[in-house]
Amino acid sequence: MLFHTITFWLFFALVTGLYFRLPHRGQNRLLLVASYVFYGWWDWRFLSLIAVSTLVDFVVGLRIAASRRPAVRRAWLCASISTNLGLLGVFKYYNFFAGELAELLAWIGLPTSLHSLNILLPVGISFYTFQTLSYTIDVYRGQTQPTRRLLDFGLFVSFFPQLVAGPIERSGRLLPQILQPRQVRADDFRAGLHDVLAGLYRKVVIADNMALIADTVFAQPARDLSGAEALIGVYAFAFQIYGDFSGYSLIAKGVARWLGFRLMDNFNAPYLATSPSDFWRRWHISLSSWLRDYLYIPLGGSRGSPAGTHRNLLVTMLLGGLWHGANWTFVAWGAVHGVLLCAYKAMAGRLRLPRVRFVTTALAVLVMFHLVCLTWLLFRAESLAQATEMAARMATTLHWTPFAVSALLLIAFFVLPLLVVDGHIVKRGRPDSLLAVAWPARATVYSYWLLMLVFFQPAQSHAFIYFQF
Amino acid sequence: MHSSTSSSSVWSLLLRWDVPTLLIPLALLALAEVAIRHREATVSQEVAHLRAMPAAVARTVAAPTARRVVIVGNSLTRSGIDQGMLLERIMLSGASASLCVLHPSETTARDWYYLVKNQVLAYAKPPDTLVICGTQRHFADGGDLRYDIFARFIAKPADWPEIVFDDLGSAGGALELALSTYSAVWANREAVQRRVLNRAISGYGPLAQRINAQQRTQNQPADPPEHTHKYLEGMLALAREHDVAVLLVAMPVAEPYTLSDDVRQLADAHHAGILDYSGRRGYEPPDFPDGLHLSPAAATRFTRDFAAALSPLLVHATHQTAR
Repeated sequence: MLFHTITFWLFFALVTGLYFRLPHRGQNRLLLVASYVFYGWWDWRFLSLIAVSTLVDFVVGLRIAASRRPAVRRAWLCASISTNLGLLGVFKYYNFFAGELAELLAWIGLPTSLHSLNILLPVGISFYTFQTLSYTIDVYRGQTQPTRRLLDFGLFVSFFPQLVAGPIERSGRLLPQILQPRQVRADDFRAGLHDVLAGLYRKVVIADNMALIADTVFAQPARDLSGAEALIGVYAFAFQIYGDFSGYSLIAKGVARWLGFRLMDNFNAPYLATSPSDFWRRWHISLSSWLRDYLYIPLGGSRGSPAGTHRNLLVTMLLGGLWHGANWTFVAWGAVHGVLLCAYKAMAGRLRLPRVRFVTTALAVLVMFHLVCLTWLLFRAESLAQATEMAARMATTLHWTPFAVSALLLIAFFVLPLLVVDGHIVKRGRPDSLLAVAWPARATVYSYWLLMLVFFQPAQSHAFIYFQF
Repeated sequence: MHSSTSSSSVWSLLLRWDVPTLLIPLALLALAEVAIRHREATVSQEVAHLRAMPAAVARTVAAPTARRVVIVGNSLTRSGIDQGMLLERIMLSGASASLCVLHPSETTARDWYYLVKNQVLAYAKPPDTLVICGTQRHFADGGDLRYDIFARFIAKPADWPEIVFDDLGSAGGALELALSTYSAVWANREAVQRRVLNRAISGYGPLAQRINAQQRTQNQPADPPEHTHKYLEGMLALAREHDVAVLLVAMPVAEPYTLSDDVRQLADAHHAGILDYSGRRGYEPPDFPDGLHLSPAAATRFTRDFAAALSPLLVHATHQTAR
């Protein structure tokens, strides 16, 4: 059930119609059932996984809080980590690592055949396992009180707006909203409307149109592309993934707001970032903050030596890359981001740029955007070989073919208004900056979004990219 | 004082719920609906053709000629058959005929079935000859449906239960049908998009062709399913019921294909003729600049060949009628 389909909105209308007639507890039960229906719509067989993850972490949370003995508390935490990472490991990474191990053994002269599993990747498993892990870790750290209400905890794990592609919510934010009665006011309707419209526009207009260009370029062998065509393909993918993922997060946020829930912002004009650190404060904020709080800081963060800090950054980003998928391209993507962060940390204090603020900011934004695009090449390519070949073409044969010129104009047609809105977000310092402007200006933007949604959606819709993670 | 206070509080309430902000875009959409309805024929050449189809069929079936021929196909037919030249050659061969060519883009047997049912055979005196032009892929069931063309210009609401339950099977499909039938904006949005992008983006045409070619390749199933031909069979059965002679034309494309035994058997069972260009028959890849559609020069040759194949069938019938 994709957010931009009629089926989802019929489902949501039905849920909402019942929701506002029920008392608080009834609302939670309804949302839990609706969330399981929503998830089961993809594949009912995977409902058991989410149920297992829910039950295990519910029990673990209570057991950790009930014991004062550190060893027991640690053991229960390990049980939660093992279960959740075990689920991820089996369903997401087993075949990849089995294949790589078999290749390595063959390379050193010990050929072996490891059995591969013929299993589908459950939608959203990377998201809900991280969400429940954050709960048990927060209980362990004493930052969250465990809940005794299994069904409400089940809703925390499976809440359908953010179940399959985030944002990854913390128990301290979402659980209290579940446990307390909620009200939906005029502001919630306004904010939800903004988020849903903005999200649909980003997904249907920006992402799906950019996908057409990106798919066309990446389907060609690199040797058949000019450097400019390869570059255009990367630009198109950069805006495809941004529109796709930020669109999904916004729709999730808007739908949740209409039900009285406030989800976190997951994107904050990331392509206007001026440094690698700034980028990761703006891109997939729920994942980057999760990695910071549960991986980077426990590893030592930046508290130790510069070498230790760099090691922690690299490990965090490598695992962050691997989280996205079982492929060396994702690992390489994470590694490059890790290197960029390390390099920035090392150089930040030493760079002395001219004090012409607008020029240095614009330059920083341009450079950072292209560094990010370089990483997207790794992310989108089918293999490291393809990414390398395309990068080589960009570096050596930047010939602007008619296809490249027309595609660039088409990208600009769709993307420039998006960047204007992002610029407004940066200027106002809030992702929902449009809610603060006068209603005629907002109506103008909504009119643009609605007309683009009606007239400029491509014939073929694409699934959300992050569903595959 | 009291009424201005209450109206300002109503306005405040509306503003808090963002009602004016929502009404403006909806009003603009309504305006677009009125504008497109008023000028629908000018949205694109394709829309002009779709709107003109019923009149073209009506003129053909009402013509006092001995043979009245309706040719149904898609863009392969549009680019491959020169209607004026075809008619001229048929007349030169001694046949008395009137004809029209219906060629909505990206249509297949499913669309043509409803087109034939609702527009071609809806007359007390239907045409004498129905020519159906396509490739094996177009004669088979399935494939994507262009809701905008199908709902607004081909199908009728009475057809929806059959289409939704037998074929589409989704609430989304049903809603698309309804929107495309009753909203000129929804039905013409692709045409508007093409028009705007053609004007705004230099070189958009070739860019779109390259993207479409890639999409076609990408969307081809790895293992094509077993083809069924219920819509082709439906057309043949309808034509036979109305005593209309049918000719199937397997159109040439750059990549030769095979006309299935099912299609041949269906044609045989319903006494339909087959003009088979599936193996290209003298048309070479350079004749298809985009791999699918005939170039103007190749289309001239094809029209000549087609006229030469069609004329004897019409002349024979003309002489029979004259007797």
